[in-house]
Amino acid sequence: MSGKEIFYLETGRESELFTEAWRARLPLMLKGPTGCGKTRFVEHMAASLGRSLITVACNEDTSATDLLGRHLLVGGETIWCDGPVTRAVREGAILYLDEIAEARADAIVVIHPLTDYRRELFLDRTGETLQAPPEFMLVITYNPGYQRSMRELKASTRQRFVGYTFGYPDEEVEIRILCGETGIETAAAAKLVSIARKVRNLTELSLIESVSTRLLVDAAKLIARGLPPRFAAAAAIAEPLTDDPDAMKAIRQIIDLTF
Amino acid sequence: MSSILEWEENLFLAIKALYRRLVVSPRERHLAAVRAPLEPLRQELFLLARMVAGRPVAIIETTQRVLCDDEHLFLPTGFDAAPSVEANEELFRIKTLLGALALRNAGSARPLAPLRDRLSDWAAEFPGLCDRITRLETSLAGHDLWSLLGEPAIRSTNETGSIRPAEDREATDPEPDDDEITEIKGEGRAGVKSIEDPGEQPVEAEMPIHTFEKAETLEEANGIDRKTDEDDELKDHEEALRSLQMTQVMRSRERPRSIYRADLVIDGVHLEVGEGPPPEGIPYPEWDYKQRRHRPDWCYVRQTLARDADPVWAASTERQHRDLILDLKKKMASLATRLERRRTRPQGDDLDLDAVVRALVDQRAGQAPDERLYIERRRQRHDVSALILMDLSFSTDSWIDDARVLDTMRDTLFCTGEVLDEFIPDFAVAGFSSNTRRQCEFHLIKDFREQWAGSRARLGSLTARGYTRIGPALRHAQERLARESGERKIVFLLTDGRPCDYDRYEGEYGIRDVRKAIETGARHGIMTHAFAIERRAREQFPRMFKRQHYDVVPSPRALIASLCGAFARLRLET
Repeated sequence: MSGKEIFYLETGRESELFTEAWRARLPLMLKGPTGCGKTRFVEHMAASLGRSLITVACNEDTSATDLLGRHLLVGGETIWCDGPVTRAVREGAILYLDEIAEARADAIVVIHPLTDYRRELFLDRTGETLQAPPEFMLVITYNPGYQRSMRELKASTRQRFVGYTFGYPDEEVEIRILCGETGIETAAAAKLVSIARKVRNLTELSLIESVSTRLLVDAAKLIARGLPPRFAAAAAIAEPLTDDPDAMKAIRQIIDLTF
Repeated sequence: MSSILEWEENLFLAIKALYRRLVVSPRERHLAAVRAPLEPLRQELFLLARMVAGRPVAIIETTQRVLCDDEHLFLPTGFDAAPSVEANEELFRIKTLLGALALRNAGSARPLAPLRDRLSDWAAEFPGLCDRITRLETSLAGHDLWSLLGEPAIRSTNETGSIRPAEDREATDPEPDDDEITEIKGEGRAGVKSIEDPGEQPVEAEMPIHTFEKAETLEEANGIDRKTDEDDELKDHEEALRSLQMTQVMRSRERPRSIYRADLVIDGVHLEVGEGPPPEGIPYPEWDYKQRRHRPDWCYVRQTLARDADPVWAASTERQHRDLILDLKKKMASLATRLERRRTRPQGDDLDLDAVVRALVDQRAGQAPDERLYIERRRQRHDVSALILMDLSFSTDSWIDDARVLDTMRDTLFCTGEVLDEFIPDFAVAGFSSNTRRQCEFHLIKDFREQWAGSRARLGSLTARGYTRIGPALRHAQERLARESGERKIVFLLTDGRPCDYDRYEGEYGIRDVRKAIETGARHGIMTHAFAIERRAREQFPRMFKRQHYDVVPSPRALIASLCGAFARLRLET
């Protein structure tokens, strides 16, 4: 899996932490707002460590069965089919559980034995106990207080992980990310980042979720394809963020003045 | 009122009216046609300023040609200098933008160059700015853009003032009564001095007249008929008040007869309430952010039970909002019946396929299969104790969207109570007001375990009173909730978002106290969620409440839905 290089720009010491956690066989919890590059970082690290990556996007219906596996009835025979967690443990892959707090409580509990010194997975359906190989690593993401009605992760679960918080990258890094990702000119990238930094000031008013680097990358892609910058920025930044007409007008003012 | 001078007055008024019709009116009509008022733009401009300045900014309406000070942006009620509405709106945007840029640099020690010389500093960041200013300048034939915008009045850091979005009341009748009051919106002003009441009594004898004299002087200058009756005459004084140069304000304990509402930045003294007889009530601490400590036993809360009821009001409100109540009940019912699937139950609606397969596997393997093969759907709801706390202060006497805020809140509580009564029996409703720290009222409308049907009519007899000291009311509400057994406990706060009391409970002090009370409650598992109808609360609320812990709703109707929705969320979340 290490063949393809994945573009990722370091914003702090996350690679160092990831690598050492992997070596020390510690599970890792990544926190941070949406679209700030958590998934991209994990993909990048899996590639650079030469491990395969198994990703599960958790939602409120994700259950232990979904993660561990289930018996399937095939022509009167029952066949055991591994779930993503079981597969990752067997293969020694990097297991990435995105938004783990959204999953049902039983799903969260089954990963507990994987996260402490035992590093094992108990499959009650097959009566198997799998020992995780040294290459196996569990990475989860968690957005504390990010959404309304967001579920909190229990302390008993959180304390099994080492953590790292992602913020939005600082100005210079974010510009380089936009250039590296889309090939846009530095001047245009700088303007997009300048807009984002201003709009992020509105986040505390609970009018909008913050402008993610992902949105900026989208805007940069549109600009790189030749769309007029104002139009591209309005489409990729203002429109996805808000339906509030006043906020929309104010953001458009900033875009118009900047481009 | 009749006098021998009446014919002269009439002649004068007739000449004045003619002059207005021939000379003043055409000019005014033109100006009115191109005028851009602040109000519809206010929210947009506030957001724009917040984005550019990078820190909280408050907008003050004033005719003073000042751009901004350390934390406020000064905007006029309207612009009519440019020849079109669009150009006047552009004036607002440019002024906001430049003000926010100047605010961003506030606090730097070096003396600042005039605004127009600093444009080049900002050109790199906003390349579009200079062009827009040039276009605007060209369209402003005969007006100087820079004098319209004003210069920043950045104060040195050791000089402090507090923003007081004040309701300066023109109390013309010392007798309280329940007549409707007039409210006109005045212009804000910076650098206003607050002067102390020279004595406790008699208030009406001296100071209001002192203030009033100024208006009278102006009135004479404008040649308006002088009336001496004691009714609500604010409307008649409107013109005089428009040109009032408010430099000093004073507090009064009287109920307002008319409201002259203006945003003031008061350069202030700290007004403490003197010692008197020991106050009655339950003592609560108050947070002093400057000292970074609680002032122990600072506020005294008296809990009273509302006894007066207005069944006629209750009946008519129920009739008026019947559709809305039904609609909300349906919505709540659908939320309340959202079912949770429980697997591996001994009985249920569906077969649990996983359990069936497992049983089959066990059977084949020669083991006794588990018989719990069903998925059961059942309601799972949280046990919630809630206290709805409603601001009863004088500021709820003001009007939004052609409705008095107090009426809107009463209707909201009525509808919410009707809906919640079916779903959550255990909730309490209370109003709060204050008149200094020694007299904080906690007015219980419905207590826990009290019948809603028996208490709802009490909402009808509520009247606006006193000031908004939110802290002690919150603390008392938390105290009440702490004794309840609910799994989740929450205070819902309905307010206009401005902590304010007679003894200087306002500005940063009030905001920090409210924030502290909320934090203390949260540590004891009591949440606070605030609601406001006024969109301007967006300027205050973020400083008191965390994101997700407040809602600023656009209309009274939305408030009811929002409040019920918050209940539903709380009850159903896992």
